Amino acid sequence: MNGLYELLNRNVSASDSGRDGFFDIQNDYYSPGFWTGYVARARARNLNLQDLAISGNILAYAKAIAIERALGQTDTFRYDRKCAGENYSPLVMLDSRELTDGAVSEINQCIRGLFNEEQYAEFTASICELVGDLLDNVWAHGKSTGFSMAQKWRGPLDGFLFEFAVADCGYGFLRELQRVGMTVTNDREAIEWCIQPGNSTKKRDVGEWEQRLPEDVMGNPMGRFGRVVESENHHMGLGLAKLVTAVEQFHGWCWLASGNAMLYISPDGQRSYINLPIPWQGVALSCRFDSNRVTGTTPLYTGDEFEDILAQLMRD
Amino acid sequence: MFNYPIKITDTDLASRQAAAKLRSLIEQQVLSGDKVSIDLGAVFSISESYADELFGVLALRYGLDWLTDHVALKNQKAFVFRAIADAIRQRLSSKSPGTPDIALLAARQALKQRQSRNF
Repeated sequence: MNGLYELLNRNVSASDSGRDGFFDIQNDYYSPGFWTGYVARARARNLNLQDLAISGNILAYAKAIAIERALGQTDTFRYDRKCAGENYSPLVMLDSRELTDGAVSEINQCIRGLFNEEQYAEFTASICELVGDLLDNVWAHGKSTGFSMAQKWRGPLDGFLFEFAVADCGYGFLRELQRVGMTVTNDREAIEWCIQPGNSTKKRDVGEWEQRLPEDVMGNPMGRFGRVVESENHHMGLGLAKLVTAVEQFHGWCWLASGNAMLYISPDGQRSYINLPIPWQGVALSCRFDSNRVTGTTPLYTGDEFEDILAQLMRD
Repeated sequence: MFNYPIKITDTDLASRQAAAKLRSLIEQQVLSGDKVSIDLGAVFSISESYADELFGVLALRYGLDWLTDHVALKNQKAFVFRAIADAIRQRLSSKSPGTPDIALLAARQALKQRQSRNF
């Protein structure tokens, strides 16, 4: 399965504009990490499906995951997407709150449906929370350039693998940190900062010159130059740190790319950094879990006085 | 008596923007003298962002006493309540970094006050 790692670790000629070797793909299998990055860059360059020159089975699959809609074209897929929300969530461009919330619900519906036994309860609850945080952050940071997707496929043994992914072509971590005045000098340091608990650029600044839209705006007529921001700056910056912890807790895989650095977490919890031959302008992330590995985790509730008192106080 | 019911029908609560909108509604209702009861029975997941923007910010802005006096929850799943409690705890802790479990102290105090009022 080709994922985000394979997308950004290829020997192809890449340029800064138009169609280049980045968009060349072979007749093979590709995961959400691959597709979200692929489409985010295509959309950023105003390429359409014909420009991408995808053919054969891959083209049929690309249409099934709604690549045309993601590229701003008419969706010509002739069938109902009956398994959307069960086995997969198609490509969704996260350019409005409504679409972002819809994508969160669809991905979480997949997770709850696929991991519906009691043994998965802790995994399901933890990951669904994180999907919400992650997509909301992409919507907030990604300047309406973000895409999401999720997919299940059969595992090598019994069971199955499930991957969800997001990719945007926004500032990326390094530029975002430098924008708010931090002295971070390279992409790897920027990733390291962003996965620390409590760290968020949103805690530090809301861009004074950011073009603002009213809260109830539908869609985003100003494209990448405008976005809706909250009236106040309340971000706590917990999403990525919690995600990394959850990936390690549930023995998953994680690939997180920004600029020319990629963080890779393996199922045994080893973290490593890779220098990317194809830098990623923005942030791209994919997380993969094996149904055989996500069970048997910590108990759901271990007793907490604060929670108990709060439950009494907030009871209707 | 919680006299202003809000029933949330979404299964997954994610965005800060949606949370900020609901928070604003709650603030308006409380200012006009109502007490708000939020029915979370349909909700399967709540992101930390949403829980923080709604409940965490209310706790930070008005205090835990105010929050628990004016806002009640019903039908919430255990996971959902845990996320809400975590968000409130994080916010209260961020107000006084270094203070040992300020959230727990605030909760104990709020409970004590509630009990003394009920006598």
